[in-house]
Amino acid sequence: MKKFVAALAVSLALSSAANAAETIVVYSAGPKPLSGALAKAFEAKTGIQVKLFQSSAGKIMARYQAEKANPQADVMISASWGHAITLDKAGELLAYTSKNAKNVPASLKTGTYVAQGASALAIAYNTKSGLPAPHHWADLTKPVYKDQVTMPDPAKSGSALTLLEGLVAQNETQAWTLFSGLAANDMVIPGANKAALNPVLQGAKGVVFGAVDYIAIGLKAKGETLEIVHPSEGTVLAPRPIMIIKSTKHQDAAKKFVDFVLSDAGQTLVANRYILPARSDIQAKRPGYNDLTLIDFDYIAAANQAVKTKAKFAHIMGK
Amino acid sequence: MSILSLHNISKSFGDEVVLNNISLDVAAGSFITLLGPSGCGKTTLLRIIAGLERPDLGEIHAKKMTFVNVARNVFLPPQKRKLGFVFQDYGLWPHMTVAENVAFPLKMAKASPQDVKKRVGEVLDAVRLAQHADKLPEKLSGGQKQRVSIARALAAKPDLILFDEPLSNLDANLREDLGRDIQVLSKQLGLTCINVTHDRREAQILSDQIALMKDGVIHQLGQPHDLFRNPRDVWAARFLDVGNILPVGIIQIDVPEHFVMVPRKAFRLVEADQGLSATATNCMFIEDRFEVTADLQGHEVKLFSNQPIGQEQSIGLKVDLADILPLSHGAC
Amino acid sequence: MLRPALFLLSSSTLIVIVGFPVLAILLFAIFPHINELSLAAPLSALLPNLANEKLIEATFNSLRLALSVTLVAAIIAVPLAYMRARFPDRLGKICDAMFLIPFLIPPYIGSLAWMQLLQRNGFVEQILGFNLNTFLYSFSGMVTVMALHLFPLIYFTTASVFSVIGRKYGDVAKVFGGHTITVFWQINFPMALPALLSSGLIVFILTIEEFGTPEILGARFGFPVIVTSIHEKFSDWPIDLPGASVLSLILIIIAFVAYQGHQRLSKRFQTTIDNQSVEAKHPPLSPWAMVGVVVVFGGLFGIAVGLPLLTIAISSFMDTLSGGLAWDNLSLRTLRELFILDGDGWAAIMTSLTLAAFAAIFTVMIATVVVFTVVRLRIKGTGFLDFLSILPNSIPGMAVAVGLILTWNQSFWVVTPYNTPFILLLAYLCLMLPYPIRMISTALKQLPQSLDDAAYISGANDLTVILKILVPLLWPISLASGFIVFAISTRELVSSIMLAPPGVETVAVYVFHQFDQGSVNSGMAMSLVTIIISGGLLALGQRLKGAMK
Repeated sequence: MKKFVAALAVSLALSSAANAAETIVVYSAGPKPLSGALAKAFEAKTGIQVKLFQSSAGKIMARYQAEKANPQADVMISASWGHAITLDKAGELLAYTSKNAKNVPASLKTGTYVAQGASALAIAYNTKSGLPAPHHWADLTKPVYKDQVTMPDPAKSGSALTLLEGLVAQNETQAWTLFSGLAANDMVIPGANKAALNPVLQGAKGVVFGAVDYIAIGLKAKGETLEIVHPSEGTVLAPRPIMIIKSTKHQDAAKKFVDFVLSDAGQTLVANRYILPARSDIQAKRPGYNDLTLIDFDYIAAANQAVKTKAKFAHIMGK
Repeated sequence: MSILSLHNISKSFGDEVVLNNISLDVAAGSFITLLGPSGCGKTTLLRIIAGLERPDLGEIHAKKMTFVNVARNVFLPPQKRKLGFVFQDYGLWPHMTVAENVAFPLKMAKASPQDVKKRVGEVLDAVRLAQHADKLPEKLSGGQKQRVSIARALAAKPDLILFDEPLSNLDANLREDLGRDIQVLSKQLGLTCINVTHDRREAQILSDQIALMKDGVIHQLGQPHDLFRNPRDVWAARFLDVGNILPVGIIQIDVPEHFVMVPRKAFRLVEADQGLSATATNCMFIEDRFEVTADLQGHEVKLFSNQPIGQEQSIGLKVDLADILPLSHGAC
Repeated sequence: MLRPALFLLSSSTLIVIVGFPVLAILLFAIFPHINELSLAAPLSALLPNLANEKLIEATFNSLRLALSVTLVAAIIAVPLAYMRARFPDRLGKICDAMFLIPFLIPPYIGSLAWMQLLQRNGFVEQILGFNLNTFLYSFSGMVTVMALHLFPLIYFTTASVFSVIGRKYGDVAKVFGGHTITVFWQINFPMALPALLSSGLIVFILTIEEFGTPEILGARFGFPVIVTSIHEKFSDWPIDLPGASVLSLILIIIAFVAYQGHQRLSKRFQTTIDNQSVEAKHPPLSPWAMVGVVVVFGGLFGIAVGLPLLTIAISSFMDTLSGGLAWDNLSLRTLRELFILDGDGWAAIMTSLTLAAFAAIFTVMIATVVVFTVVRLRIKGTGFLDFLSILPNSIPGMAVAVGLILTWNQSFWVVTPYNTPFILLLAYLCLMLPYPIRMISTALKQLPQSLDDAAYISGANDLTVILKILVPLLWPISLASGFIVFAISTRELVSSIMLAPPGVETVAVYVFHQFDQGSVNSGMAMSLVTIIISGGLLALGQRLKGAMK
């Protein structure tokens, strides 16, 4: 027991000693290899230590909220633009515009947060399923796809919510008709993104409506029999915001981290994970800004309507 | 000289009064038994003496120390009272050998290893278990286990040994044998012992003194022969099972009491038309004579006979008036 | 002096480990801004949540699910337990060991395995040409999956009671001419009923608290329960922590009431089977009976344990998920990646094993002191200790995590375990403590009080009694409970995800991240490795325990 207490004391002393050196705490959602690689490259370049907490977007937000009495995070990278909007509205973000953000499209940056990269929402289908290749969102309401479609739940997946919001913003009537048609075609909504994708990979279902494209592209590269389609009538981006928490005691280091993520080196790391880099001048390893038809809509206005939109969606899906 | 004296000990569990103002002196070298039906408080009293329970009121003084004085807030924990205790369920530690069990109190008293070894040998010899010293308790019979328990209680040469129904877990024959062994041992070694039991026979075998307990008080205190010959009242006579208890009217003697106790041997069998007339209901051969149960004017009586008596046979009974004892109704 | 010290030690330990996080949750449910150290707007989260229709539906669903799972688990377990009581000793032990395995499979992984097996184009369809898709994604399907995972709990408890009852009273009844079936219904069943109900309540509680299966299967047919609703409050914006605390509180209350019932019942059945020392003398089974046993037990083992385990193993060797069951899809890639890729997988295994070992050692040490204080020292206040020691039975991992953050992430602490691996240890201690406490206190209650008394009278003090008498006697059961803590700790997911300090990953967290990236097979491979490691240790523990007897 005494030894344990001693060990505890020593490790606490060490950790506070480490804190004394320049260290920032980054809470990051999204692919772990990317966060890890960004942190390592940043440490190598600047000598500033990065302590990385890696989880899903919801869980880093939950942890952030529970920690409000004594905030730990200096920088957060979320997979949900909505999180950034909420935190910004609450006045919890530090205003900062990185010099490297010049080539980030205007819709993907504000005075307090900026996209690190973005995924686009797509149709992903299993080529072994024997289904015809879909081209448009509405194709999935056809009888041939009956009982073959899954969709991530907008209540559990920020990107699915963005797609829902985008389609509604583009043409509200048409959007709700589309979802009614999908519901009539027995589309299932099994949970968050992975829960929608797994049955398609396993062959239980054939198609994902609203797949996060970089995950599907990555899996295809690993040899899964997936094909990814970005409908030509338009899709949305799910930008991944990076932001500095106002309470940070390491402003300069945090700013340096944001700069690094938006630098050539950082953006290349982002691109390597098949994510669309925020900067339009960085070569994507996947369909880029010019290859996609994007629905242009007001994220913040849509976010204000989100509760209503989700409720209507749930109602149509019979949830 | 008294080795232990109890003054006004009382104890309740919740609303239930278990011991009510008990005082008792235990003379050095005596063997005293607390006898009584279950729930009379005898076990609680023993555990209070041992220090395993605390009394609500009262004092207990031993030869050189005060065990308890509630008024002065004195309480000596059991480990400091230097007692021996023999448990009903033996209380042997299953992970220790016989010798280790016996050595434990000596080690607690910080005896030197040589002394421990010597003393363990002595007490195991005394209870005739020397050859089992290295066995685990589970390998022993019930009687042997209880001998180990006794040896352990003797080991540290305590002034006083407490027995909690030491024989009740044993078979009948074994009970008798071990009882005699305990009695002989206690006299040889000059031990002072307090025993608790509900078994009359066990009390008779072991004790110099019996304290008959009822409802948390000592109902009657005396030497065994005195107690069994002169029970204080109807309740004591019934509990001690000393003979037939009959309304005075049936025997037709003139005493102020309402009941008389007629020992079995006080009935003499006579011809059917003489004495009190009764009807035999049962007859069994026990030890060296017949024990007859008969109906005497609606009361069941027991008596001895040298000849078998047939069922439903009419018999005459004469009573040896010298042997009968008038009984007050007592508190019951 | 030792008694007050022991009391102080055990109560302060329990207050820190259990009391603090629970109090934090309670405060959070009442004061939704307590995480900002403000008492503003009291009850503003509690009342609207309690009136929420969705919450009422989820509560109702939770209760319905838990009741059904308990019932089905009992239907599976009781006949098995009854048969088990008639087995020769060795065969019985083998059966017991087999049914320990379901505990090693994390429910989350188990459900994924069932999906991979039974859904459309699943393994069963790929081999046998049919699927049970409709059944799997239905209430009955979910109940079956959960019951197959939890029935061993009822099996173990009732089997031990049956064997005692059978020996004591079954023969008596047969002498008086009772039929085997009559004997069962008239004698064994009523006597085993308290044990059955009490273990059933444990199953009930575990079902109510389970997250993985309702999340995976229930979501497919729209079946929200309390735990998935709590999770939903965390999963996307607006994050609703106070709402989650309110739900946690409801969960705590339900589980607490159920646990009280369990305690009461188990007290009753302990008095009926207090004398367990009778040794079994069973005639060998006839060949036909033997065949029957092999069929029934083997069949059930195959379904409840074999199938999911096999699925996990096969998945670990599959190159791609969409490749399905095909020879050219066979590969060691996923298993290899586990031990190379940045060393992350291996680091996670080492972290989990270290944490689990510490959790096992400390819970057993704490439990020994607490149990001794509660069971043997009759000081005032031990009732409060007893209450604290069983409380973790009714706290979900997520609530513990939030409670620990609220407690330890405060600037007023001079030193805090928060953001170090010790916070994980603290969470495991809180969540696992009931297991050794329950096992050791049952064992201690069965040790006659005279063993302690004899030692006191021989001159021993409390410490000597604990060290020389109780510890040696309780050592085997402590070891067994330690191994159970170890096995469960290695697969703890929810609190680990929430509390893992930056840069630290446990096995379960690693698996979770793999699934998150769509790498189901890597997750399965990691699970397989964990199951093998903790299974091996569990077997070792059983062997040690046996050797010591």
